[in-house]
Amino acid sequence: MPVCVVGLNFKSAPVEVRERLNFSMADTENEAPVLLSKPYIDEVVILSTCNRSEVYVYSECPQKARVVLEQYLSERAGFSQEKISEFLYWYEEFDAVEHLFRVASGLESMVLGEPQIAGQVKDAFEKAIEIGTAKRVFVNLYRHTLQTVKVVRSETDISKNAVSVPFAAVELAKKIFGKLNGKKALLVGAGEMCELAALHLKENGVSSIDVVNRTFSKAEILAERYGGKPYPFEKLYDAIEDVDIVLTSTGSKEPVIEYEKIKKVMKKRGFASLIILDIAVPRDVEPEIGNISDIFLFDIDDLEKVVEANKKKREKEAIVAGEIIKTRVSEYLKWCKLQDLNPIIASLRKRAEEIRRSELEKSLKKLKDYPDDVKKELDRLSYSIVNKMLHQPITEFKKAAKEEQLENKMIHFFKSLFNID
Amino acid sequence: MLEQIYYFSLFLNFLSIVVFFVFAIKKSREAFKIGTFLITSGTFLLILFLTLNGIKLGYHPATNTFFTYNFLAMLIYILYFIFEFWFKIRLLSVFILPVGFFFNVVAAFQSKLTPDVIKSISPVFLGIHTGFLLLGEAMFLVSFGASLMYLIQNRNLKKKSFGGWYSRLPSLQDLEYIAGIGILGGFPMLTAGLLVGFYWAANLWNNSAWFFDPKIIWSLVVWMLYAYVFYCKISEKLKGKRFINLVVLGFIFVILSFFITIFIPSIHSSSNYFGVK
Repeated sequence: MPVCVVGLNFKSAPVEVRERLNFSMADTENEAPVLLSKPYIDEVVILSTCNRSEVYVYSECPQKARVVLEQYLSERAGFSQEKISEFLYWYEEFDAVEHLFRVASGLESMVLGEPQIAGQVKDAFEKAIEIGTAKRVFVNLYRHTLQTVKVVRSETDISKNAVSVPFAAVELAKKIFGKLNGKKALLVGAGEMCELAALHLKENGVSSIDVVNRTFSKAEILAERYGGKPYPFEKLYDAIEDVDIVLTSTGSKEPVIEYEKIKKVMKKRGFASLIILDIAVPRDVEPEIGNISDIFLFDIDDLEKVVEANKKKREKEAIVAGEIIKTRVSEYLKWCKLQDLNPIIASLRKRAEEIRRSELEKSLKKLKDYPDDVKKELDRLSYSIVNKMLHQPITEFKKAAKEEQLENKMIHFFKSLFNID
Repeated sequence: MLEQIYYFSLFLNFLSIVVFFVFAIKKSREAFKIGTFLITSGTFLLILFLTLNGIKLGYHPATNTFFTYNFLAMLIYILYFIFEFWFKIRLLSVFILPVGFFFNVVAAFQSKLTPDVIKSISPVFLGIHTGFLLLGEAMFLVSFGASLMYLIQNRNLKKKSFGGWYSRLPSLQDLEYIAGIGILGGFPMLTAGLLVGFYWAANLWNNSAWFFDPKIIWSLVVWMLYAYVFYCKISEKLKGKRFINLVVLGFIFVILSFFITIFIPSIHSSSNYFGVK
């Protein structure tokens, strides 16, 4: 009885298809029970983000469930079943679980290793558990998924290292200052990327962000927002004097920060390290400034370079993560097999006990004149024989499951051997 | 038997350095673990060797060049453990341990005899003198190692090479901090060691000629240089790369002071009658 998944993502389908199959949380709440009521489907979890829509089901007859699901999705998308199947992928058992683990660990994401998807998977499963479409199997699968994400994150660097320009700015600042707690930043001009970087710096401990702007009123507004001091444009070099990080992004055609002037500022600073992140095009900072000792000047290309280098590192880590996931999937499936055995073993024991009881009663009737110790001994004897007879097959059965040698055929044979359903 | 302990320790330390370089190049966690195990065993044997010799002699063994260099190597290894445990900067191994091993090996070619004159005049004092100085120098080595890492990382950041070493080396601030600790810890040791030496020399040689010994003059130069570095650190007068450059320069002077007696006759030369290292 395998876990299966049908779905589409940014690789398999364009946005105009994905948007038709998007499920909001409210949709999930309505649609999951509908799916559950359809034949061959025993449990349902719907995962839908802007990059993917996937329906995880637990089914006894995967191929029949597949037909049901594809029909459902084609109706929802308003496409013919033939057309929709071009965009859909379908995985069963090992592949399906592997897919889920990879998705949750960020290996299938557009930005490799991004951590948000784990939260989205969490929400999807928790919703399904709440509305009751996820039951025994998926509750356990959910638990294993969370554990896998944790293992992947702790054993690989898949989610470390910045892969966007504003985060790259933070990473560079950390490579120079270590912790950013108590450091001060200065924002020169205003641009989306610059402000985003400023926000990230603030989140990482930068204590205040001063603002310099040609329009002083604008500087005041921004300074208030980031908890720093506003400066008029003429005071630019004074402002630089007591900050650690400068972010510039002005629309100026000429460089705003000049070599000779910044050299003097460095002397006044006692050559304390200064990071200048120049995100403007054309550049705001004279490039020679990068040669001054203890000034670390990075322009937009340098930040992109950091991002590129980090992406490559993540790709390498993704290979390691993929291997970890494969072993985790086999562990999960093994665990499931053991779980499947429990009811079989329980009914075997139950059946044996029933036989023992009825045979014992027959004998006791015949031996009713004998003293109680004899009857007790008879009870003990029968119990002991039955248990000792069952011990070996059950142990071997479990062992086979652990070693992955247990095929469905064998389970059927085991059942018929002891006449249990 | 004692000799065997020494050579086995030398062998383990050599292996550990090789393994640490494999770790640095291949980024393998296992290599780091093996290297740590090897250097731990090697250092343990070295400590055992020096302790047993100390017991046998009845005083601090650092009274001839063989023991002195080994004692320095031991201090360097121990400091490496402390700093690695403290800061968890694994690459420190590649920057500090080879220097320790260098002294470890050089020792093997040095005189193993303690001149009689030393035995007759308070070897305890000499032990304190060399002990402080060597501890100071080992601390300076840690500063030096961190400074080299600083210079590499600084270069990575300046040249925008964001490859493997960039992400593996710690931040400049952390490296400067470690370099600072080495100076803050090492300078008082250096001062104490020199003072003990002066006191001892003044008692040993009543005339003032000892003061013009090249090694002593060189030591004073080193002391003044580190006094300045120390001052810069506590007053925060010099920061960043300027401070680091000074630390590197200081350590070059320290290394030179070890070898100055080879080229210029001195009371510290072991060939000399006074034969004091």
